[in-house]
Amino acid sequence: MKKMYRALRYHDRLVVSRIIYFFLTFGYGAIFLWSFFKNYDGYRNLGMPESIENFEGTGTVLDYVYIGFRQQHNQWLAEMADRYLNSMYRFCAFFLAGVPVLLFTFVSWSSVLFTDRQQGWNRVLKAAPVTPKDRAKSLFIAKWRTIGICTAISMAIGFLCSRLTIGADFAERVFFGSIITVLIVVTVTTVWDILGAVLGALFPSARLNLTIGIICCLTMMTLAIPFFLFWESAAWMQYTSNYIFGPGWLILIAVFAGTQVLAWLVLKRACACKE
Amino acid sequence: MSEYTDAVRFEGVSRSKKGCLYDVGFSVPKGTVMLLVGENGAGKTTLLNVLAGQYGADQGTVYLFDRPQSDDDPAERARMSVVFDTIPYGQSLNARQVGKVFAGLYPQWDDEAYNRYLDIFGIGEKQVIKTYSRGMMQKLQIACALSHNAELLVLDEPTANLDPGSREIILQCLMEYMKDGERSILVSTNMPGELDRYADGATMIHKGRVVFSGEIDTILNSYGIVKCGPDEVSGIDRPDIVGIRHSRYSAEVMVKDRERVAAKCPGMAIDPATLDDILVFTGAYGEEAAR
Repeated sequence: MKKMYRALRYHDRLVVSRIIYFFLTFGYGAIFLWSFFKNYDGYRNLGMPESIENFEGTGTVLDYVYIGFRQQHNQWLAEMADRYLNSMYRFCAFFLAGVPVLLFTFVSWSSVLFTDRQQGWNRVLKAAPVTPKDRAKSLFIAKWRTIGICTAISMAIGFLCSRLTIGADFAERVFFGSIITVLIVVTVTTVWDILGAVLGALFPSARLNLTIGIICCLTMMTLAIPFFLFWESAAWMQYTSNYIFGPGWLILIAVFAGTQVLAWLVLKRACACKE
Repeated sequence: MSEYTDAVRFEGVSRSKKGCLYDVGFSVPKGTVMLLVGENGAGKTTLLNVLAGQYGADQGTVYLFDRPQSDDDPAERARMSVVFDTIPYGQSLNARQVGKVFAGLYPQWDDEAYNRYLDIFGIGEKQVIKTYSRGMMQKLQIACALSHNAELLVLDEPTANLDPGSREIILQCLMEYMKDGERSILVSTNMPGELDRYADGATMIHKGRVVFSGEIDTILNSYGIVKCGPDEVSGIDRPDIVGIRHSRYSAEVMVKDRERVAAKCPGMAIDPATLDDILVFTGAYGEEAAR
């Protein structure tokens, strides 16, 4: 643990593996959404019409888009609207539900950069009238403030967009789905932070550190596939609104809280150590 | 201002990791400016990082205001300010935002003084740090360091990236800061000639060890450069020699105790040395003297 602080300095050398991590997170977001939509048949019940004559609408903005297209005198546009209506709904649903995931992936990445920026400020803080514990507290709070604000914004955008376009039922699912996504991504990011710190302490060689980091990252992500598939096969999305405090949620929240506590302990020790 | 004798005292500070230090011991008396000189890689920055709480020491003790340095004593830290070799602030911030960060950290932060220094140094409040030149970054750090009423100022090569005009302005500010006689400065440099007229003492570090530490006048009175023929070098006692510079028909020998050498070798011309000369002879020509 004495070398832990050095680990934080080596942290920035792990940027390349972070980039890989970024794409993997992004990929998992896509897998997550794909598995969600594969089983989600809600869009089929949204009043998809055979043609404009029997179109009932979904009561959302997309109805106006569709009607707008159909009422064009341009025959080609009208045909396209008929032919691709289903795809259009599906695409919008996919895209809008993806907003929280995409934004959060970005937040996850920017929080990494934020941590790297903290490395510099850490020098100022170490020389300033601040105890190591207060320093750790400020770093922890600052990181969570960033994550919290961005998460709230991304979830709100995701919810509002899906509410306006697809409908209330879908928006609710997106909302709970994005909470789960946030919990999972923050947990994985935190585990990665802790791993990075421990690896940096154990293996000061940057190249070795990087290699091990990438291997760990890939392993962790590979292990996550069955995790996602399990959740998907259990059709967890179908139950989220009814069973908010079900065992799955509790396990997820417990793992999330556990990693945060561990991260706090590591950070506290790291701030007390000198290079 | 409280009562103490030394603003900083290093006692037997050693460090075996990156930037080795061996049994470093010297002090910066209250109310003085101490130059910390040495060639690149001598250990100056490492020592200042130990003092600034960045690095740990394997052995020895650092005393701040006559008390052993402690990480858990914020009040003691508030009495010291540090200017690092590179700017440690977030690059996307501007001077105003940096000032706000410091105001939150230091209880005696003086916003008026900060604004004044920004004006003097020509730093725009809204300009983002990443657009600064290196000299501007250095000036911003100095403005921050001077604005929280610290009793001890620790500067790591503060004038390294500055043009002569800016250097003069900063040195004037530092002298103004020292006016009341209660404050102290420890400043590292590898160009001591720029700063020695403002300093009271100098400590030289070479390969992690203290070569000398004391008042500048005493040091400069002691060291000298002997100009002699190549075959006359052998007449000077080896322990007195700091470095030898050979040219085709003559040699220049830096000696530690010019009076003793003058007494031993009466015919030789001995010129006074500057701190720059000592640094040159120790760094560039010291190896030959050691052989």
